[in-house]
Amino acid sequence: MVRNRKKPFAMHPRNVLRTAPDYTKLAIKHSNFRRVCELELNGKVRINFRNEQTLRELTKMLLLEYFELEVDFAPGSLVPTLVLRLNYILWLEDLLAALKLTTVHGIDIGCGSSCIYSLLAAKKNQWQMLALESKLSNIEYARQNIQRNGLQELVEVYGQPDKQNIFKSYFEASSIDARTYEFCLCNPPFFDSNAAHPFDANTRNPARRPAPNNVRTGSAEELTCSGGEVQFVQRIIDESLLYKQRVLIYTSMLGVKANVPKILDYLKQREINNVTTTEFHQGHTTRWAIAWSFKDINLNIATKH
Amino acid sequence: MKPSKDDTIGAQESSTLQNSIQAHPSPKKRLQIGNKSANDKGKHNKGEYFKFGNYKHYYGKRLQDTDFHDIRLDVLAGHAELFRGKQILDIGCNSGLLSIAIARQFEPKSLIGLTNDAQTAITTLKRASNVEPADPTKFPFNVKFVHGNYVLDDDVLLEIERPQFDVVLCLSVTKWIHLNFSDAGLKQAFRRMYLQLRIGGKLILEPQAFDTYKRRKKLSENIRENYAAINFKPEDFTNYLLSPEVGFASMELMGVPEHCKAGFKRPIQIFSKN
Repeated sequence: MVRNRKKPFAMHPRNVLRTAPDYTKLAIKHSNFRRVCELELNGKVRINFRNEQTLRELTKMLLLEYFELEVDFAPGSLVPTLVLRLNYILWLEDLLAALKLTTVHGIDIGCGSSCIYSLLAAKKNQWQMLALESKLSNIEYARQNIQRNGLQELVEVYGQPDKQNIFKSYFEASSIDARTYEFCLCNPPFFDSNAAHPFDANTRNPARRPAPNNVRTGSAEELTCSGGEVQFVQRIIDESLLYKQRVLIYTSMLGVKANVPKILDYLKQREINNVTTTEFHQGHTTRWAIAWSFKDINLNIATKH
Repeated sequence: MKPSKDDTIGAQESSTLQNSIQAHPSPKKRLQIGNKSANDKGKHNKGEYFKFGNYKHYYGKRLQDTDFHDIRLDVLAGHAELFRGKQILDIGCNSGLLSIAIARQFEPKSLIGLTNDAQTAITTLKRASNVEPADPTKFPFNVKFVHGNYVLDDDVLLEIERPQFDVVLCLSVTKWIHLNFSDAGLKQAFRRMYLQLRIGGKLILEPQAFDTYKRRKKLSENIRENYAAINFKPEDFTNYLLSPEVGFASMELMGVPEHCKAGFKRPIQIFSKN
């Protein structure tokens, strides 16, 4: 990955939020968003990122403003940050660019109540998405969000009956239509429900790694799972070995840098060699992603900044 | 102190410098009468530069002695209890001289000055401060300057304004808000002042008379248009402030500063929010 020396932690070059939006103008335009903003003496608005409702209204407003998507979130569910979601989608666009495909089919593993990845993929790129989700209330919201935005032709939600597997239920059920998918994407639950303090940052130097500037959102179910993101992604890898022909590029995000080498090792042990990693930068937060394929395609794309 | 270009009121019709040059004792200005027009390169941008009334020597006109003593301080001193221990906003405080004097003399809990020239104000504050311990409630640590204009980009932003001050000072600023932001802008400013005050809070208002607007109307294209469109006159201000659109409960007079220059004899009013 090429790093721009001037802006080592810049967002993807095509990220529409690369230049900070004028929140004052947006507050004037959008009344729900306005109500969660604070007005400063000099007439500019300020956003309190430590408030859950503010984050929810902010993401809703940005989705409406930049993508004309009207999205509703189940109360208490994870509020996605648009910048990060966009960075992921843009990386997938880059990975697929060389293939020059006319139609693209993708799988969204754990779409959440917002179904945001699938909605963005469908609205922005007309990709056809299969959204997998196990939590009932999230499934309901996801379907409503798709309906509200008229994207039923492009996005299908499949309710996972068994939380233990990723693709199995769907692939086995749909064996008649053995469609292949160009990619899968995933925001795994970062944290380990088995750990004593699942949300504690494992930082060696707390003075240089202060707490994040925003508040954490999402239910325990969305944020944690047994073994955390490492085990979750390992399960995706295990299942990908069973379905080598069904998905061209398997991908997943990782929230913790230290987990990246663990997953790389896991892939190596299983002799999966066509692998690439990337970083997503948004403000003070960095996330990582990993992609692997069983086909002979070039995953090593250089993103120009 | 060099006399500013703001000359005696009433006499001049035009705001061009040619007329005002006659009044200036400065030899430099006298030299220019015969040779150059009033619109030579050095001068034609002056209007733009001062279109917010942010004259460099604004406070020069109100001095009583050589030490800074704005005559208005004497009037305000008659109501010192309005300021002690309170949180104050001073709108359009220019270089901050008066704000600093108020903060020093009346010991408010805090004073924030909104100005188009925060840089100068901050420098003035630093010079006025030779105090050692950093007690946040004591001068000069109770003073802060913020750079900006008071009028918001859109009225809807008033929806999220919140009470946060006990006193709002609006001294000799209404003319500039009026000329730069029109009737709508001034009305919005009045509404904002009310919304920023706590219950029991006071607006201390010293508006300029309308006949002083005319000589400023050519400062910019925007001001020219706004001046021509004015329907909301200073004599309407009190009624508007007391109307349901703003909501102040009452008004009382604070007195008129006895002052050398006639143009600065402006009534000071106190509007109360109940």
